Amino acid sequence: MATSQQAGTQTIATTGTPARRRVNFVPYLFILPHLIFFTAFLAYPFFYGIYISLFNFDFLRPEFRPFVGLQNYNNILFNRNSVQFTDFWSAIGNTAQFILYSVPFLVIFALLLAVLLNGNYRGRNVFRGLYFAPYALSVTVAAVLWRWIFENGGLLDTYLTRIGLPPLGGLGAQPGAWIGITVATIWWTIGFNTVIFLAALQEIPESLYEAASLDGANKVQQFFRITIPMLRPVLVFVITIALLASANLFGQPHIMTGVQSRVVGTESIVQRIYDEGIIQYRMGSAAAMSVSVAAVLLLLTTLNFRIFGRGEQQ
Amino acid sequence: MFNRLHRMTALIMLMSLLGVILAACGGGGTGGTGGTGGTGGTTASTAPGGEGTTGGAASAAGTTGGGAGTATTATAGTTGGGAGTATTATAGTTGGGAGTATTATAGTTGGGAGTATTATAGTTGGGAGTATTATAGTTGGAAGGQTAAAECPATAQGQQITMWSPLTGPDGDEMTGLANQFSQDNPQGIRVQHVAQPQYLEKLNTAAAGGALPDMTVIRTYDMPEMAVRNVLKPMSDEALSIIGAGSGEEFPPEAWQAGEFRGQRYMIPLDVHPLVLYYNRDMFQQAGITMPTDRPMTREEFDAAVQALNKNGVAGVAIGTGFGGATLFQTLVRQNGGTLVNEEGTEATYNSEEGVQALTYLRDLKQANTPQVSGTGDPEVKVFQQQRAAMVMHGPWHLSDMQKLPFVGYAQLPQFGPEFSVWGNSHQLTLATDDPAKQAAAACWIGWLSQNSVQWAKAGQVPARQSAREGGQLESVMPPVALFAAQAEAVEFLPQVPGIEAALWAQAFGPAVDAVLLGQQQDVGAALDSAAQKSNQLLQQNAQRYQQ
Repeated sequence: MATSQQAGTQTIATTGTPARRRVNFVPYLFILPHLIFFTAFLAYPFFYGIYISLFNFDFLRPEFRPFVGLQNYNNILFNRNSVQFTDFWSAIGNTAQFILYSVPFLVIFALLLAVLLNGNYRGRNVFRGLYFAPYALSVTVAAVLWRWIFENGGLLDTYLTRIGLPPLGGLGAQPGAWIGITVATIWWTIGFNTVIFLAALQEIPESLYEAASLDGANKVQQFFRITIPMLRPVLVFVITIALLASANLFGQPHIMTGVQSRVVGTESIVQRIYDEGIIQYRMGSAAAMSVSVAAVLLLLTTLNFRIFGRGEQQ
Repeated sequence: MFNRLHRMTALIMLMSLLGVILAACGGGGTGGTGGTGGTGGTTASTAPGGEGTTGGAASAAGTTGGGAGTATTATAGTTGGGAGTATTATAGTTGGGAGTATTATAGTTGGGAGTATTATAGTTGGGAGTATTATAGTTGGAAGGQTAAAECPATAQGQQITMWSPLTGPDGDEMTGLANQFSQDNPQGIRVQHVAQPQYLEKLNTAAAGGALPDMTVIRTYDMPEMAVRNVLKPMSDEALSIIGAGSGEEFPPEAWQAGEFRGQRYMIPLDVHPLVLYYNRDMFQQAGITMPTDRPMTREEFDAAVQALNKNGVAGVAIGTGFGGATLFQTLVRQNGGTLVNEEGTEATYNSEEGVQALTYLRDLKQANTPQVSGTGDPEVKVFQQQRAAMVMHGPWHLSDMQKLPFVGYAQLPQFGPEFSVWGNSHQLTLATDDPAKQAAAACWIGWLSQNSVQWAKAGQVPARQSAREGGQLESVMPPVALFAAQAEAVEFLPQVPGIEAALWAQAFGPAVDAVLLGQQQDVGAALDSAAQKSNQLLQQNAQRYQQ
């Protein structure tokens, strides 16, 4: 790729003049603003998080902050009798479920939408705008909107009953709760993935399609033989983003199923961490959960790039 | 490109995951203790109104029961006199009242000084009305015949007080109105700014970490110990307590008053008590020919019969929800059956007793027979009632303002299901988050005033905690249904004030268990409560360890 080639020539240039060992500060000055923010808002909190996960920690009680070693990790990961264990694992299970429900839609629907929006017809910019619009809303607005539709006695159930169908039963029970949350999430975030796909689709040279149609390939064949392979890098990116976004599920169940998330079975892992750290003030334990989940997601992301991105990295 | 992307996404992920927790934890540290402040100065009343009567003799009234009217120098009688609009008015020694006057001195025993520039009320039980410099009686007097005057020291002069509350509904506007009224009327120039905050405890925590706490707060009973032990709330100084003038709480429901104390220090003054109440559909009761609930609680037999008679034609007899609704009814029933939720020390859960199992079984059967589908957040059981799809609902009194828009709603006390009469309830209490003596003094002046005038608070649907506000038919004139609910104020039982007790029992343990049973996910009631109790005990133990001194 272009960038790595440039980097290569630069390396050669510097090694070509070994006499000068003077450090050039200019590049560092360029990255300084980002470095400051990176350190303050990413590196420091990250390592501080690992640090507090080793303590019984409450930020408003500096007088009581005993070092507990790996006990917080032991409680959530291995100690079946601890109060943290069951809730942590059920939240992991719930989040995994949500990933399974939402990611396929967020990728496949987004791709189909992008293909449709990439066509040449009047008013396509209006549609592009329309499909992207919900993404500009905050999670609260999106979740409240869909709560009104899906809640017990809400719009959906009212109309279902009116046309003689059985009601879904609201957000207080399954499957209504997951359906509601998944639909809300797809409606809210699909625009982002669509835009990324759309940009990638426009990068595919028209000549490929022309050549294929000359060879007699129909639209479906073109889609699977040209569009999908050409989109592969972007596809990996979108899958990763969708996966991480879904793993970070918080606002939708927080608003749509609220305190009942645990009973209904929609309590996500971030909700659990929030509850443990911010509501119950067990911040050490919450930090241990964050670190554990971060490790798992890091692993998933790596796997994702290894499996889907194979052969794309050189 | 991909390596970079790879790293970038990994970092985005880490950031978003850790951000929530770490941003909050990064603050650290709490503010130090404040400096010193003086006391004393002129004491003055903040209460409105005066007893001073107009009319009577112009110059000097009789020795017994006279009244001095509009006069330059008016001296009222020695026994029960009243000095009216006068420049210098001296009321009688026994039970006199000095009206609008420049210098008014009320009687030594039970006098009342009205609107005056310098008004001195009686030494025993006197009351000084709206006055620039007014001295109220040394022994609990009442100005304007109704409210006792709180003494406000000079240090409080001109202080700005910020007050936060979780009152984000219409009750918040009511509170802002009261704060504005106090700010305008108090002669010391104390200004109170009320801010209702959603996500209340989170806001307080963040503010505490950032050193930006308000001077005082409205807080729900069970949040106090944890917030006190976590250095957010400050105990009330003796001076502040004497300004508030609540004495040793004789005027408050004992349990609500008791809850304001933590580790030997007073942190809170009760503002209101909000018990569960019964809302019923008058039209449906009438059509079914059922006697309307009166001013006494329905018995279990009456209630069951009513539910059975009303539960027909697609209308439920009673709407039972989950979450808050289910959990509060469960607590009520356990106690009405004679059970308890936790032992007296607050160290061991007891709700998995025989009484607890009976309570939850009854509640489940009631729900299954009436509104099995109703669950979720946003109090759907209340909506079902308001849409006339259920004849009764038992919920908090804060729905009052909505309910009053519906002509069919009737109000009653909660039924008595078991041998005891007990009702789940909570209390809004007034606490201090500052330890600056001048701020504490000014806040205390406001708390005193608010407590005196808490009958106004009933407009928000809440039952005033202060007895004087609940008695004498005042509530009927302000908000009639609240007068009915007020009878339950003394029936509200509180948990022992142990830090984190409510979450350890309810939100983390029996809350989910009750819901699982009510929704039919868990059939074995005893097992559900047992495993919840086990969890409660673990959490209580963890709390005891981390919140020891």
